[in-house]
Amino acid sequence: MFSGRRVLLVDDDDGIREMLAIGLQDEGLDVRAARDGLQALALLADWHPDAIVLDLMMPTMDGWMFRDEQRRHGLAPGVPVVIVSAALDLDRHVELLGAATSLVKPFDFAALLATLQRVMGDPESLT
Amino acid sequence: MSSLNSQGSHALLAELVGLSRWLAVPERRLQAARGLAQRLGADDLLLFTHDPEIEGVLPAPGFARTLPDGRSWRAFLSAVQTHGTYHGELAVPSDGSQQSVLGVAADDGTLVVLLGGAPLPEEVLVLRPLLPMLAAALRGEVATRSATAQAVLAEQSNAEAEALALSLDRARARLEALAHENGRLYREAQEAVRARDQFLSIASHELRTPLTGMKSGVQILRRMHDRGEGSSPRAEQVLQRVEIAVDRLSELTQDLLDVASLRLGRLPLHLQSVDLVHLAKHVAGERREYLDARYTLEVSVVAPTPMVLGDPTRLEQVAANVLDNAIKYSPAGGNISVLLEPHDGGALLHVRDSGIGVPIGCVETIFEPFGRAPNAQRQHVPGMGLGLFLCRQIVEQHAGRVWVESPGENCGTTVNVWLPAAREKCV
Repeated sequence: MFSGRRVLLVDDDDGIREMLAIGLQDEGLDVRAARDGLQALALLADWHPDAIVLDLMMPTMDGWMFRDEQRRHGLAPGVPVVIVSAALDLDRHVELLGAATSLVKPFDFAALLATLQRVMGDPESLT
Repeated sequence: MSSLNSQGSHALLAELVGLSRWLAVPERRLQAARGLAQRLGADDLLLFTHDPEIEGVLPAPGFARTLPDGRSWRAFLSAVQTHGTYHGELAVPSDGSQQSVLGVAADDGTLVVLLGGAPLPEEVLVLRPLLPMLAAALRGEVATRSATAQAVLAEQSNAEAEALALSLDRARARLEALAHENGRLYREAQEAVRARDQFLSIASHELRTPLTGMKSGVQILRRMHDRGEGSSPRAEQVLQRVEIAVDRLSELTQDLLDVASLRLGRLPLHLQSVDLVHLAKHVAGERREYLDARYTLEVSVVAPTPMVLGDPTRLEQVAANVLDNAIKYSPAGGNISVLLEPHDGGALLHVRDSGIGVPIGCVETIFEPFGRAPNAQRQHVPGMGLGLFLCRQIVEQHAGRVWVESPGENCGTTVNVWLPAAREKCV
């Protein structure tokens, strides 16, 4: 379903990051993972994902600062962002951060897959 | 004597003041206040009382909790207490009695009335929108009473005048003190509500993190199982992460249960001789297994350290919490050193990190229940603010001490735990 599509996964929780990376790779996605916004920016410097799965509350560089820096440096412009967070009022953050959509933690893994499929679109239609 | 401008207002004011006596019967309180508000055409009413049966600020049934413009009652009270407070003793000709009244009439016609006879008012009624006519009447009444009192004073002997002035001053001082006390109670109640909301928000976030790991992990394992990959090394890796998330959720709920137990009394301890050095090495060893290359974790025994008398499970909880904090509050990695030494007739454990540190003036705040340092919150370092609170409760139940030292933000932290020696040999 996702063959060859790339996802950048940004979450400070080691367990969530590792499990989601394994689960998404098993679905055929090419996954890179970062524990905070700073690592994510470094990855984006020479790697272009098709979607970004972004936690908000992270030490070192949080999701809000990451989006600011991403836009400031023009990294991966237009790449859809899916916010995954336990923060309240996620709809407002989606709007403020220019994200495509959000999933409230704890979410269904199947819902994450469906969301990624929706925001990345059908690869056939992009060619 | 004095008179009100309007007979209608006069009757309402008399009823308002008379209500204070009626309100002395607790069962009638809400019913009476609500009835009066309806007769006044008021659409909101709050009854504030010191009666333990009706503690706090209560909206009468069917009335809104906020003002029509969205302000809270407390904010409104704060504003009217700052601007334009009128107070005095009002005569009510219908029954000839004197009642102490502190009226706060706002420009929009809202009226706050502290009602009650000597020595102190017991109720605060907030009526809105009270008829502007009545608010104006109250102002007029107070002004008239003041003028009348001055006239009486001029005609009476100095001694009588001074006695009357003293009496008026005392009454005024009592009412002002009460108004001040009410303000303090409002602020305390507001702070308690804010702390509760903040805790619910933090606890919700903290509990959702391991829940997310468990939920995603189990669902990923189910998909692996359905593909016939349930025994693969990758499945084992996910399973280990699920187990860690389960342990984390158990720890969080245990912390909440411990706090609940402490509110009822002390934590039960099962005392025996404990080797703090062995315990610290064991706890550090567990953490080394999952620490990545950004961290180093060393345990050093400076000199033979005495055994302590304690509950090994609770002391392990303390050591684990202090070490987990050192790791958690060093998000960029760094060196964590655990030192043990004999000190002041006991064993002293230091845990030093090179992490985000504790801002100046916050080394005690972080021992309060749900207390967190501002830099930790700002940097989204996870935590409910219960760990060090529980550590201190446990250590103090062991007749020990726990304290934190930090030169400031981004300068690292040292947590010190001292426990008295058991009367046994050193190790």
